[in-house]
Amino acid sequence: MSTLHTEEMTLNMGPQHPSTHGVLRFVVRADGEVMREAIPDVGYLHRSIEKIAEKVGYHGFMPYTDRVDYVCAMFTNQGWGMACEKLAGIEVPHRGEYCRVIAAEFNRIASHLLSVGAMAMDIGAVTPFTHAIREREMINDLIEELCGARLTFNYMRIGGVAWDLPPGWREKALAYLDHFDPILEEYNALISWNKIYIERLANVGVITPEEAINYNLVGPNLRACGIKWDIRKDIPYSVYPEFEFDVPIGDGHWGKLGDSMDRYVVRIREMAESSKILRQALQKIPAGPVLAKVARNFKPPAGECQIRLESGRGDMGWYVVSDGTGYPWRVHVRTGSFAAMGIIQKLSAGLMIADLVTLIASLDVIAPEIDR
Amino acid sequence: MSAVSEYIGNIKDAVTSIFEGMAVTASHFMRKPYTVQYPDRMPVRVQDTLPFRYRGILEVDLEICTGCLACERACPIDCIVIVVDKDPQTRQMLLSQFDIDIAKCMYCGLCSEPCPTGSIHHTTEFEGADYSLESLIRRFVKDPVMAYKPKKGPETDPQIAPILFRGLNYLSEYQVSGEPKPIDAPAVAITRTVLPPLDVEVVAGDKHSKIHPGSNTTKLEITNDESSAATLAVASNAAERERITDAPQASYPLLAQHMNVQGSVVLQAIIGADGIIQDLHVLSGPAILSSAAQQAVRAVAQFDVEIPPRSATLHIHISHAPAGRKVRHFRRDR
Amino acid sequence: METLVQNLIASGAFGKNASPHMVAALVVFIMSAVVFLGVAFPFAGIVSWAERRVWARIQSRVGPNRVGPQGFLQWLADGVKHVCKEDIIPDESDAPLFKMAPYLVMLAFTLPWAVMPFSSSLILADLNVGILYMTSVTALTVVGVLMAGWASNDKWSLIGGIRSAAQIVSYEIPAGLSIFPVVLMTGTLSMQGIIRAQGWAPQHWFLFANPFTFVAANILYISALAEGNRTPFDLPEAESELVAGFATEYSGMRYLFFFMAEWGNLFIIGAIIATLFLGGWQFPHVTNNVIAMNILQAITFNVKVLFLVFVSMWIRATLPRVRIDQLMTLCWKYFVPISFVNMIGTAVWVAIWPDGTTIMGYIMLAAAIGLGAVFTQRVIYYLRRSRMEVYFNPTI
Repeated sequence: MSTLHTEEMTLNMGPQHPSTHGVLRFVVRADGEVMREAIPDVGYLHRSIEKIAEKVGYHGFMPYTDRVDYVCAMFTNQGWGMACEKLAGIEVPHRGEYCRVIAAEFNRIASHLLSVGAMAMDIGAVTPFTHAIREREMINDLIEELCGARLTFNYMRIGGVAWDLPPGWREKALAYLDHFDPILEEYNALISWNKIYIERLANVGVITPEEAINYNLVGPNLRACGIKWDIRKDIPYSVYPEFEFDVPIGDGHWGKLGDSMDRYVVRIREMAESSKILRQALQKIPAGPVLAKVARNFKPPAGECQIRLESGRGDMGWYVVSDGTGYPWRVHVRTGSFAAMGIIQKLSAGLMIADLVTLIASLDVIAPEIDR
Repeated sequence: MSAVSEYIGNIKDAVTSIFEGMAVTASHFMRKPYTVQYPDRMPVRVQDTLPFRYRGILEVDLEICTGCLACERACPIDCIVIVVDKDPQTRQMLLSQFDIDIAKCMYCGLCSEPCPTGSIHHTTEFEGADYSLESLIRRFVKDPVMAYKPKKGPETDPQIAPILFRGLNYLSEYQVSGEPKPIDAPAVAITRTVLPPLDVEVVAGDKHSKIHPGSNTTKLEITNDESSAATLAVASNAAERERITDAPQASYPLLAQHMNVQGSVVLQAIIGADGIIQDLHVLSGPAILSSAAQQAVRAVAQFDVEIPPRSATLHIHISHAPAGRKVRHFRRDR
Repeated sequence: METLVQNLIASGAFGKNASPHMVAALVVFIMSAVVFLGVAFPFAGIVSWAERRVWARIQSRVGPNRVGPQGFLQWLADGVKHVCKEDIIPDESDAPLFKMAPYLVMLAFTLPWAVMPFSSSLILADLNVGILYMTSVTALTVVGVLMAGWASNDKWSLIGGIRSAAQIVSYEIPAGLSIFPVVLMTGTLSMQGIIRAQGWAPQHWFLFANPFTFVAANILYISALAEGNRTPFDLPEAESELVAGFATEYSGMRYLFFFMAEWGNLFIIGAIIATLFLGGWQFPHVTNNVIAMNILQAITFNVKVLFLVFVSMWIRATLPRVRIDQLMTLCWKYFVPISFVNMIGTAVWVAIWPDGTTIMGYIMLAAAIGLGAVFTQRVIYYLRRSRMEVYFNPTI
């Protein structure tokens, strides 16, 4: 039988699309349902945030860091704070570190909730998304009481945090955690262990550990391949060494190791771990100030520094070069989503178009973080 | 055989997991929805349910502004414009302009932190949508005012003391560096005075008076603003007042009524020598009321003015509250 | 129907020289108009409102509740909005096919109402191949959907249309095969005949007649959902991938036609299952008044169908969608063999032990009640554990 002459379609999964997480574009070369290649096209959300840092100065840049990754705003705040503190040699008070960890872990739960919810919605189940958003709204209520905003928090400052925990907040936070743990189980019963869902996610977008390291993946994407690497444990910062928590990794239980199901389950388990950390932190929080004394016109000594922290999306790196004035010379952010975009092109060969959506969702790509 | 067992296992997994999922969703049928049906099916205004630290639209209490420009310097986005000069005669700092562009503002809170008295602060207002971009520039200075000079001891002026108390209380939420805050400090309640249902506050120049009309109408009292030789026919004679009040009234915007929004809209009207309004624009005030205020002023077809041949600038301050409702004035504690 | 028409002609209501054929045709037209315009289309619209309310409660939300009492006029508002929209025909598209596609899909939705057995005498046409007619005309959607996908001149629509065509055609097989057990047990394809062969009590329904029909009912329900493009099989209109699949290029009322057909199909799916397996309009004989009996029977039928519609909405809110290859695997590797087994099992059952149906009915009913009890226990478990406020009132 002679080979059938078929043509390849070039589709555009454009910047406006219901399921690319943010403004992303993919040029898809497909042979019917099966893709040959999906070429990502980023840059639609570039806002020159790193350049803006050179204009607004150290203190003024803190609200801009919220916008780098608005889902994980506490981590970006913390990153900028840590970078400037390292440059100038400022030590954050102990209670301030605890406040940072509490805020950050709540943000991690909120970020993962959004990620798993959006993933479920991309797969087709509409209910888990609203449930996840409902839980996220409760966390947002808590954080709103803490710092006044629900998304772009601007909670942390160079040298600590801006506000202490309000009276009664600790009890509310603990009550929320008591509410959250059974809800997580219920969420799992609804969607995570659903056979259709597992069938959609297992064996899709398998990333081997070597590939993951070569392509610079970080965070849950990396841990799902079986590599136990978490900045909180391996390059400890802040007060994380004082807490007991586990780092969940993928185990290939539902399909091959490193598939989308592993990435999804790692996020679910990380939420449970964050809940553990939060309980410990809320119990053990010491008394004291939350903000170190930092000059209004902050002029760190000339030099450069790099810090890494574990954000919702993985190892976030902040690199700051200072020239001794009140304005940084160069700021650079290295985010996990940018690395994840690189691997999509390679993984997409042989996937179906429906699987491309699954892949993007499982890598938890947030567009503003890619382009900054 | 493993293929058969896998086959049957698949069916069993599918049935049990879908069964569990359906049970979860069925349990949700019987739970209360989490939705807050804003804005009409709320027992209280949403603005009153927001936490104290909520970073809403900015507001400035000029009575306690010291003119230190700390907020202008702190703002990363340059949305605050303050003009403060030393008055040559009285040797005091005079604030002549304090504009905040709430369209540019990113509600980061960096300006309210360094304020020494808590004059610039975030309110819980978040509804700022309007049709014109200009009305989003809030101009807080109507006439040049003296900057506040903080006293060494407690503030004695009874008008300013409560404002200062509120401001310092707002500031105390921020962590002052180096000083620990007690963990379980009791929350301080901010009392806000409630204005009686109807209140018309007229400010023109140095004159400042309150009128309590008995019905839901707007009265304008127009006086001159400059201490110059210009004399204006004050609309104090009955005939003139009657003419103004009989002019077609602007109706209170329905949405503002629903949301219990009241406030002061500061308009600047340039009235020609013939009494016809040549220019009318909004300087500041709740956007939701601005169009009604403009309508109310325009409803007065012709102002009766007697002046030497030049036009005078009037500041007409209209405050309007719906009849019979208790309103809470969120802007000023008077 | 026929007797009514003959009585009317005999009584001279239409004049002395009335031709029976013309009168019959007139009556049929009027009845069809009443059924289609008065029942089918409003139902399709109301289902959209009901679906949104049901979904909303499942998702901890409220759903439309402003337009009209409890938001009941939302579907009218949506309809008016769609009518007022600009009718966009894409430039390079095949305009006659593009315009005709929604009408074909609507046709596939409208035609089955002719054999819908609302009660023992309320049926437009009691064909003796009723159920066969129903399954065949619902397959007309394939033509409409394929036409829509192709004529849109849009690659994404094309993918959606082709997926849908493959899906509907594939799932016709298990659906048809699952009808056979019932036909084997009754020996007739007519809708009224099948209903009359069942009783009003649950143990006399074909659902519980023997385990094969129970499985066949489930397979028929799932296959009918797949044919109606409902989640978990809504790939053709997978919102997150293809925006709206084959209907992407459509706007205004044309777009709404596709979705009215989908929502209205829910009723048809429910009607097929209710007729074949749930006893249709069967109601205990409580009165000799024919009209009262008919009304009670119509209510029974509608209650059963509406319950199944509700279950369809509930399933749609709960389950994710399957991928196209998994859908095909499910159909050909799971449903088709199981349907064959059902058919042969029922044939053997009818041949060997036809009287066993009554005993088996009680046993199966007890098993089903047990399953329901387990389900209720799980529901209460989740309700208790969640610590969320219990609130039964559907009108919020």
